[in-house]
Amino acid sequence: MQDLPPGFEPLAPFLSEWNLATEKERHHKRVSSSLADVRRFYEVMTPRVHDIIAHLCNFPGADPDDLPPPERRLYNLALAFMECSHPIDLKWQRPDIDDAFPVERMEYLAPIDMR
Amino acid sequence: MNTFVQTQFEGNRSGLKDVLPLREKITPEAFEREREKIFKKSWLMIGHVSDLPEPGSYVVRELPVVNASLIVMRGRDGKIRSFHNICRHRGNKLIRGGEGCKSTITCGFHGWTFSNTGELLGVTDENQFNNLDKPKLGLLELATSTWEDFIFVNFDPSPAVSLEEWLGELGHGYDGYFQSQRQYARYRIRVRCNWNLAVNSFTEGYHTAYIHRNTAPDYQGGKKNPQRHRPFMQLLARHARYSAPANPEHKLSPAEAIAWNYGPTLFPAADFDYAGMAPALNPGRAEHWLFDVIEWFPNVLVLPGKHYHVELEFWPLSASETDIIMTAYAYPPQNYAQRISLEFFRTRLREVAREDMNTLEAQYAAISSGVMPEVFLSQQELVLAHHYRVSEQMLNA
Repeated sequence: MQDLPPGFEPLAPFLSEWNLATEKERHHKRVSSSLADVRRFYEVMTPRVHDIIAHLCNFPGADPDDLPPPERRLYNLALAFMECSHPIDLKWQRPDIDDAFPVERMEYLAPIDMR
Repeated sequence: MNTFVQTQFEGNRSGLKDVLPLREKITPEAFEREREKIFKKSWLMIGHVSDLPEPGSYVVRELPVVNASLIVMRGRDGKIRSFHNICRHRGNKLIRGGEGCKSTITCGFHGWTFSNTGELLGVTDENQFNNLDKPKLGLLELATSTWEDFIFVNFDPSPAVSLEEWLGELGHGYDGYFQSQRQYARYRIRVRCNWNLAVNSFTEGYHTAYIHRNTAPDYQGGKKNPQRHRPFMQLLARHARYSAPANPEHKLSPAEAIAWNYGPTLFPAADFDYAGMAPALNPGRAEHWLFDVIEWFPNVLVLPGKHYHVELEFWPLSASETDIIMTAYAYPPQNYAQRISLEFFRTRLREVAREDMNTLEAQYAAISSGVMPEVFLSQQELVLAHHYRVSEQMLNA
């Protein structure tokens, strides 16, 4: 069982889907999910994001590789929340835009600490 | 006429063609001329000073448009040079790719060794050669020059103008702005599209209200500028620059409000506190400024905002195929709150860019098919007209 830091246990059911370490994985996961699944994750995360950020700011620096594993999972969920925010905030009918360059043709080359 | 903001133009607009026969500019024959007269005669941005932190640091760049592989290297003397990635003995490729740091470069074929400043240092079994003039057999060097954090090369053995002259007015007022920002996003796509059309798609703001209606519905324009006219547009000797108008009535969505709470606003969001900004930013001093778009002719765009900038490189592989590299830079996050905030802006930038990118192959297929003889440009699209004017000047030089 993968742990989250104390107080964040209610988010644990989302780890199997959204605990993703790279932008590419999060992007591909979002566009291949149903809009209902994206919305469910977004709605559960929205009221917790401030708490997540406050908790992570107890740790120095900004390199995710420095975080303990439970915090690293929480951080990954926070990034996945931002990934999932666009279809919901922008009221798309699908988890991806209708008229956009295909994700499977994109290469993601961000530096290692910006995965 | 429902027009509240008129564009403040600078530069020569006389003789600009707003009806363009684009098909003739994207043929294989036109591309062969561009390779010789444009890409081998221009200062091309091929890397960043910050990628070469110490003596011996190098990156290998493949530039199919000029049939070249380059080693861009900082020598032991601190100077940055570019060399053809070719052994002077029999022409083998010296470094297969990637980046790293080397005090010397040894060819894998017969073991000739060169210094990181380009001199031929050692020849294996040298006595078997007659009259080898080693001082003349250093690596083949290209004109290389730096400005701010950017490295430019010129394939012309004697460039017609210096990099300083090439950049002209755009070389001033950005002191230090680019240096402290570092990469937060980088993508590469390969599209079946001519490189000119790809550049053109990112150098006008007319499209923003339509193609970006799903990803950036209300960042630009506003009640006083509903058509999103560029407040400022500047056509220079080779390059061009304009400003995007921010919408002061932009409404924050829930996740965006979280992002704004914890970090600096990055693309596509505005920051109306212009204090301390590099003087070259917002050159028209627009009241509601979003970011600028700069075209460094021929193939690089830079979009500087207050807290970030985006670079777009367009590298042709042929008349019909282009590699596009988009890299975004910002001040590095200092804590996890800023890093999570940044993720909102990073992923939004990517989605906005995917919309621009998705028009390219359709445009190329249509225009190269020849069914449409001409393209009609609005005053908001004059940077495109300027691009082809500069192109014609170089092709006819």
